[in-house]
Amino acid sequence: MNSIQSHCSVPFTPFHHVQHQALFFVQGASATSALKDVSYKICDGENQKLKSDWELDKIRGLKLKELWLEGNPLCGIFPDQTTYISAIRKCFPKLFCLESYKGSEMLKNLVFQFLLQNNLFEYLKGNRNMKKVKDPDLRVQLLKHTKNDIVCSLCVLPKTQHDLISYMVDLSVQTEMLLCFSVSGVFKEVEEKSQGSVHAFTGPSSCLLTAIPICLS
Amino acid sequence: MRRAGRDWDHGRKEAYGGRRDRHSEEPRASFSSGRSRTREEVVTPPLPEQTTSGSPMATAVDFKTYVDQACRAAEEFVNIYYETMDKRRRALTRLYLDKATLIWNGNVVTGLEALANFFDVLPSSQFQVNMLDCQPVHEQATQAQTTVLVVTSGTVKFDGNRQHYFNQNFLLTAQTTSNNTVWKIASDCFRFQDWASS
Repeated sequence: MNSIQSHCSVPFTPFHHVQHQALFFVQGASATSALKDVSYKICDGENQKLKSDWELDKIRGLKLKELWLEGNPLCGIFPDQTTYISAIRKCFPKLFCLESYKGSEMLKNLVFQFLLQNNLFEYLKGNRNMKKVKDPDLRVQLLKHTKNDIVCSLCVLPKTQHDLISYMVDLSVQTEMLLCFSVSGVFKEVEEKSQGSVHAFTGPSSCLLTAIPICLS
Repeated sequence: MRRAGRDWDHGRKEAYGGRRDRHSEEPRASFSSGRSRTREEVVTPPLPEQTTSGSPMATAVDFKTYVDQACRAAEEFVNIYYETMDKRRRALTRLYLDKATLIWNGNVVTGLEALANFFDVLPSSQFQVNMLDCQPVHEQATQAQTTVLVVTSGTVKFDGNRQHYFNQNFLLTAQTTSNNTVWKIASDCFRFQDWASS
């Protein structure tokens, strides 16, 4: 950071840096221009306040590869995303990464890693949320059918210890052949890699009860 | 543990047609079969005849057919149910069987009149469904009555109050004619899931 500041004619506030990448808070287009000789990678965050495409012209000379405009007033002046992207592209033909309307790939990866490390991935990878899973074949595939399939899919999940005191059970249907109830509560994982991870759960269950005759001799 | 719905009636004698009571509205749309259909009715195409073959392949095909039907019913049902709950509350009881049971945060409500009174008192709502899942219930458990378990979760605001997370599950039961299948709620279980504040 000291090295960058010594090469830059305008003072700036360092925000965050990882290895060879740095993000800055800068006051305006002049500060951005002053940084152009220092780095080709600049995060143009919300503090820079580029308010119009005329102001965008001021930094047109930068050979930017990556530009972040999330939360910037500039985003709001374009009628739609397509117009906005083409205007930015005109200014920066070499731009390969534009972050504004979409979330950062880096953040997505970070969240994904978190899920993996916390073992939630084991629960989420078979998620059958029909709001997201539209493929009819996949919907069937994700529904565990027959005793073997059900038990096998449960065996893949991390070992758990359920807190029975936390349970809340709503029994809504009771016939000779069917019990339907909804359970919610908390459980923790007891495997070494995820020991102590506590999760809340809720879920309905339909239990088929079959009477089995027993012969006592 | 809350217990309810001990005498859950799956009989096919249940009247599925639009009821004319103080919560009803005039039918607003007609179904292509020529049968009048209200906006608050969940209708899907009839299920194909079951195959008599006992081969594993035939069983797999049958299962897929049942799952497809369950998914169609669930998606249409959820769209209609929450829109009716938010915008046409007085017509909501049309989606329930006469002897349907609702468990609302542990409180049992049984029968159409009690349901109508309950929904009348409930503040106006804004539901946002984020998760939907469903599965067919084995016919051995339902006396050969076609039944689907539907599970939803999401957020809801009542009368401008703070947002709550909720979970809800329904048992939908079907009456099939040659033209279509009409689905009604036999059982409904709703709970807030605000873990931090509970």
